[in-house]
Amino acid sequence: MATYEGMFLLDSARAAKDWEGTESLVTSVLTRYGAKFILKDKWDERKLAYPVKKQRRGTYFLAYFDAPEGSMAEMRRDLLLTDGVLRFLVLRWPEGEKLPEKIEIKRMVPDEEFRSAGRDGEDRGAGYGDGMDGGRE
Amino acid sequence: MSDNDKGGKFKKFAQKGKCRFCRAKIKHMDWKDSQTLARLSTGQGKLFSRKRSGNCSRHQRQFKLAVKHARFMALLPYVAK
Repeated sequence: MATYEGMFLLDSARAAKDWEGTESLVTSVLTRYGAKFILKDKWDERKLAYPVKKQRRGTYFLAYFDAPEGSMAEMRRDLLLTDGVLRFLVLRWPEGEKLPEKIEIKRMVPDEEFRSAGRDGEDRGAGYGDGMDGGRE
Repeated sequence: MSDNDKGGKFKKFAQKGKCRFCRAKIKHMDWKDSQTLARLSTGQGKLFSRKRSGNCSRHQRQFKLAVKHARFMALLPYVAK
């Protein structure tokens, strides 16, 4: 058994109408291959950075689970065929790392840490842009 | 010459000494934190160099991978306009 962190991008329209049902699209597949959930919940509903399967918005479902090693390939195959799951990413949770206590949107570093770098970045982006990159490379 | 004099353009980073993820004691970077990752990328969605991000080598490598995961999940753009 190994611990995994899985994020699943679900169809927003479907999730808004019937969250339980949409969630079970994922959970039913995972449990079928012997996954045991440690933590699972809706993570966020937001506009996507780019359209995925022609959808501009998506609902993220985040889950932490134990699963038999080697079962991921089969899960993946099944999930790819599942309608309503736009995209997913399952990664092995680093060994010895503490699991989060609940599903939430967490920041690694407070925003104040970026005040200087952020402003610097914006200034440069607007001011120099492509010309500078081109010149360097 | 004091510590404040060295570094010139990148004085702020030189003063603090450590990369901001080291200071926050982040062992494994969280690819789901798209806001933080976006602060370390240009308006076009390119990554900041180590010099500009101030990341140490370990965290810059983790950052690179985190952005790639975030891009796949449409949390960050591959190319922004």
